Amino acid sequence: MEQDDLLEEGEVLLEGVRKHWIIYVEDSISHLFGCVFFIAVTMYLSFQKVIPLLDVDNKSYISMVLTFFVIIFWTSYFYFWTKNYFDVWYVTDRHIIAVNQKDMFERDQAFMELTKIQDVSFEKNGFLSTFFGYGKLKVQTAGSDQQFVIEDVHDVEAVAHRIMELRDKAKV
Amino acid sequence: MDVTLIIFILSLIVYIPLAGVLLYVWWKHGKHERVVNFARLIFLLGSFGLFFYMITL
Repeated sequence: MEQDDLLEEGEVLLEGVRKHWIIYVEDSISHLFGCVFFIAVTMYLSFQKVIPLLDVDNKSYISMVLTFFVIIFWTSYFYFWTKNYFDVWYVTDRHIIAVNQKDMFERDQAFMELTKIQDVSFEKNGFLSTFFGYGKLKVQTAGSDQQFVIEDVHDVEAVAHRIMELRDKAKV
Repeated sequence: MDVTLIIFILSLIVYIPLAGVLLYVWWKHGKHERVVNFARLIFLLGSFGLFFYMITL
């Protein structure tokens, strides 16, 4: 697995911190609405006979154009899914390894030693965030301006507490 | 040339590079991950289904 390449010899992976599933649901809904909107506009234009190609009598043309839209939205959804899924923190017994998938070919990896963690904080903003328990997690290192931030983390409060416990253990 | 054929070829021209990038990223960073394998299966099945539907029109 990819995370195995990031670990030092003897380092143990404790958990992967990922985004909450509600983020994927939000993406699905926004893509579905986008798709339905384009289909509605195309159907409207075809009934109004504004564009000859999309004339309501050319059913196969309309179906082709609509399927083309669906393919675009289908692929776009998986782009967003990839960006969210590959945004992950690997918590080990020595480090936090933050992987930030900014774009398909833009990916940051940063390592933070557990012993250098000074502050761990989290934010839950809004009804959904409070209800489902996801939120923004921030980890600050001592003696530098480096701050790790990951958005929409699943069970953010428990993750923050676990990181603090691991830091305390690592410092002993 | 038939318009439906032009739309089909246009769809392929748009789809293939985008799908190629996705498959590459999944292969590069998600090797042996069950979730990624499942996502790839769903993506490819859905895509092939849509293209198959286009062919039958």
